Amino acid sequence: MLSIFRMIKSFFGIIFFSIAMSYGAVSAQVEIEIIADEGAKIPITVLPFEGEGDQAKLISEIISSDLAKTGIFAIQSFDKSWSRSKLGDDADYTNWASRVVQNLVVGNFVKLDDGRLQAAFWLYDIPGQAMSVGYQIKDDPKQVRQMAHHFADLIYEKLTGDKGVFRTKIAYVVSKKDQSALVIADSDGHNPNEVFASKEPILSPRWSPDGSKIAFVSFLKRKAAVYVTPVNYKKGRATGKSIVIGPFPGSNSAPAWSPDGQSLAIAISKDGKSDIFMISLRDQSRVQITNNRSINTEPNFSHDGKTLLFTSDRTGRPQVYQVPVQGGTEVRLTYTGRYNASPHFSPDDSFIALIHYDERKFNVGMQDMKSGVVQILTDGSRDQSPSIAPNGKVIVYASEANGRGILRFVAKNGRAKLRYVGPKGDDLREPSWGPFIKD
Amino acid sequence: MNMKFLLVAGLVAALVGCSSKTKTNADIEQRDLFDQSNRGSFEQTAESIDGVEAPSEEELRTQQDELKREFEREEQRLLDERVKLDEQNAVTQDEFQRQAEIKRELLQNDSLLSQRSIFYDFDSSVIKVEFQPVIEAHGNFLKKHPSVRIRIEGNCDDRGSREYNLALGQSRAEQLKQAFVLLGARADQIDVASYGAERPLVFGVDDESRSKNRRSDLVYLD
Repeated sequence: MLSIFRMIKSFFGIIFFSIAMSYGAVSAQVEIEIIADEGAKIPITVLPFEGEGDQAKLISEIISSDLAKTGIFAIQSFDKSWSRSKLGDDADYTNWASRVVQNLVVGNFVKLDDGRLQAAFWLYDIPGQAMSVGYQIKDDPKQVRQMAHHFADLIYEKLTGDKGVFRTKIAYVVSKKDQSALVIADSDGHNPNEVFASKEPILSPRWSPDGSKIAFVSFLKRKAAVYVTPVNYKKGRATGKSIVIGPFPGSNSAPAWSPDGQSLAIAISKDGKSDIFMISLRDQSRVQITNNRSINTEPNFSHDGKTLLFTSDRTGRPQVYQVPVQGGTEVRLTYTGRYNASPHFSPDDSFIALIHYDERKFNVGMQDMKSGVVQILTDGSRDQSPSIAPNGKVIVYASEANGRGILRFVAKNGRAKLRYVGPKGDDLREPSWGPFIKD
Repeated sequence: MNMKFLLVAGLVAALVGCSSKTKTNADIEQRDLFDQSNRGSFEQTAESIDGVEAPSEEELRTQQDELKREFEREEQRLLDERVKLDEQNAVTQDEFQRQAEIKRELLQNDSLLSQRSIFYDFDSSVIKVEFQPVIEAHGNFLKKHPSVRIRIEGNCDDRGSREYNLALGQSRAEQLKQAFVLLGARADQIDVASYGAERPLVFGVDDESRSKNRRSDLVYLD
């Protein structure tokens, strides 16, 4: 299994994997850097699925790769002679235990007469001598990657207690020389699809809570304007034309979806100030939330729908504030560092991700809502645009390498870091993590 | 003008109607009144047809004189119109010259007006003292030429939040607008826009490149 990884162990105790994914559409090159630390990892053995051809190999490779990338699983090596199929009632757990196997994944697939692929997997708890999950999917052979991600989600959830995000999508902006494009890709960088392209810059894509739309900012007659484009989340494709919200006089930007998907909070800059307004998507009526002579932008809803985070420079420097959605007392939340911006609530509203500047570098940080303690998660010099996975365990953000924009992922526990590098000449920026797939 | 034409046409119709019953009004109205060959035809109308009494020579002469005067008036009118058009063209040329003058003034080498960018410190929209003379020159220029329109485009360097930079660029442009208005420019002469960090002038991550990207550009509109 590990033959697909090029493994370099540096003297800093950092293990660096580079996975060259050879299946599917041409996509971002994926490099995985897993920071080994003292914490115990969950050992897991994923045998190649029983079945013919590359697809059998692919399914187990994707499962291994998904789990490895979280930084909390240790993928174990195996012997080719080991059985790949379901262990029956008379399974010899003692024999498996003697191979030092703890969590075992086996599976199979067959091509059905109707052209579909039927894949199944079983997860065994060898020390507990029991099958803990068994699952079967029938789908289009084109969906083989999604089937494998689905299995990885189920394994992840069983062994960690948290929902997996392997089937989710990420939207980001690809900036080329004369063009910007809004792209949706699988969360592992595969199957990228353009859903909007323009000669004007694009920024701030944001998924609607149900994944059926993306709001973003581009320019209309040289003014920033908020657009909404309808998409099919599972297919990662546009389903209709983009529409402009408003536009209201001035610069319109920084869209944020309300948890019910019925409203957008946006920033409108006009007459030397920028304020946050709530726009109803039903009738485009608007309600002003903030009102003072400074910059107020980057609204972000709490998942309980009660409050908004935003960035304001009312003290002369950008800092993060919180305000009730119906307006009211604005409370400053950040006091560490001269520049804190781009706040995002975690799915359980227990912490916020933000960018933090300490006079030298811009990094992604995490601030605990109760204690106010800030933890810096990244080590780039110009990290920005953090977006949190729907399970709250990983943050994707924009960074750079050799002068090019790339996407990086950092686990909330700091134990895994990944990077996505686009095709040559492409700057990747402004990532936004989509919601869970609804089964 | 139409009334005059109908009057002349009616008169001609009456005259021609006497000379030949086969001519219809429609035919007559299509004739070119200013064609000299047609004028000659009127001289043959002094005949009595079907017992209708022919007009006296004096009457005919009066009618012909009236027609001639009508033609002369028409010719004079056309001449007047041409003179008026020439005058209007002359005014346009003045306007061209005035606009060329404005352009020359704007493009004069090494003048304050030829400077079209104002630069800022990081995360600041405060206009630095060193740019005061440039801003005064543009403000005074806008005041002097109320027909001139300008767009101020605020920009930022690549550091920090893109959305915050979009708002910061807007703030830079708006503050410049206010400075121009204080100097006597009209608010409706000035449009403001922000591209935040999206339109760098210089691609580079060193301090010098970044300092060139933290700017407001002054774009004069045609």
